[in-house]
Amino acid sequence: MAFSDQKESSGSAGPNVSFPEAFEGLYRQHVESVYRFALRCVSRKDLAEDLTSEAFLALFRNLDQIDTSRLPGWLLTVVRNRARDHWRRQVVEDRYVESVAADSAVEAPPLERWLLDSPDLKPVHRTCLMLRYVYGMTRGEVAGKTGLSEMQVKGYLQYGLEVLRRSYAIKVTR
Amino acid sequence: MKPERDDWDDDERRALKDVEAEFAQLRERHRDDPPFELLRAAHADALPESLQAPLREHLEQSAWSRALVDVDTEAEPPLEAEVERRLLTRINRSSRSKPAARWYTWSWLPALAAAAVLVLIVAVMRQSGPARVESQPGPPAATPAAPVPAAPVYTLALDKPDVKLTPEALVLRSDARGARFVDDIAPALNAYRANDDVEAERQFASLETRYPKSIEVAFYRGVTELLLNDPAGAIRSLDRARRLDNDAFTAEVGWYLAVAYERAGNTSRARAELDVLCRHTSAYTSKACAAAAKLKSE
Repeated sequence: MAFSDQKESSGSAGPNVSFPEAFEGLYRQHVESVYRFALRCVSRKDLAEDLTSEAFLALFRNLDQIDTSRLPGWLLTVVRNRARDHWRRQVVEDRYVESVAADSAVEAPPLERWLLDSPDLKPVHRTCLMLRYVYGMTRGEVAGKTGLSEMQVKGYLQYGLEVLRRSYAIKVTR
Repeated sequence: MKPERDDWDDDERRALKDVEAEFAQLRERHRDDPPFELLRAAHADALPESLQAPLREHLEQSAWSRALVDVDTEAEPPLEAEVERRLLTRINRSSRSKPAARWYTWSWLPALAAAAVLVLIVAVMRQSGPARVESQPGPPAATPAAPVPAAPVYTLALDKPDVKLTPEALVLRSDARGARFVDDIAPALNAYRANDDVEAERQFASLETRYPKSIEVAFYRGVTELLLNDPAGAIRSLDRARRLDNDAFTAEVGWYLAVAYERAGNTSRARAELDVLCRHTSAYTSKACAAAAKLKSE
């Protein structure tokens, strides 16, 4: 790829920011998907921002050598590699590798089957219900780890509990 | 896992009153599940292979964990404009902190000219010296590694190996200047550790003529080229590392050659490397055997 237009932008992102227009265009086009992917990789907003800025910095430094038609794959690869470095530094391997086990061979209880199979729940409702009421997280923690806002989490939980009350709890108590 | 929280509001308490015992049962049942963030990272294939493999297996077997990490992206709120601006400012600041990255400005012209002269001199000197395929160090724009996006999913994960030095490295000196190898290689290794792959590759390339017998330079240059998505360059460097025949790196060189061959589209050579690793005992034996079997089945 060759960027013939190397003039710098007028700094639309702020007074200290000036990039080649080509780079800034790519940034605006891909930053959201790269950030979301980073958040899925590390489940922390501050780290996701670090990984996103590192990926775009690498893009900036290699701008003349990259086939932009293959973005955002290249950016996601950078994020993935940095995320692996992050997890390697966490030294979690010894703690979890041996404890990772398949699901219990015991048949899943009715509530678990309902949570997994209920057609009234979207995936996001399921995740919020699980994280809050099975894994004991606060709404803020659920929001922080999923990238949702706290208001969204509250709304999804309210809906999930309403569905639970209507289509599951009533059956159980009958 | 944390026990039931005491921060439930009245609506939650009412809604959960009749099913609290069942939720308690689920909490007990999933008490030893891997943490959400690890599962989610595994779902994105973003863990080191030693952790990725067991968690991938767990996800394949557990419908519960798969559902847990299956957050639909359309539910996520749009990226805040403030975050977008902040990130761009950070990138700008970082790019300015390393002037070498701003290669596109005219201020690089003198350096570019000097580097061109240097490359010319080295090229002339090389005609009577040992053959070397790669180009010499130059400005970033002349770096031979062309990072091609790696969108495809590969069987062999590219995990960055930690830095290790052979005993020989501690006593090695440059023939010409008598400089200590460990001092000369430090900037390259620092860039490598800091994930500045472009700078690391440039530094390793510059060390090759001074330290042609260093396994560290050849090996870590090959890994860095892989990180820059330049499998052809990685194969050249790793082949060179193999010819140096240092037992301390035999398995690593084999593994990363396999990774490079797969990324270069040569799966038969990748399988051949894995088969050799699979037959010999090393830290890579088990994953080489598993990867070889998987590649054969594809």
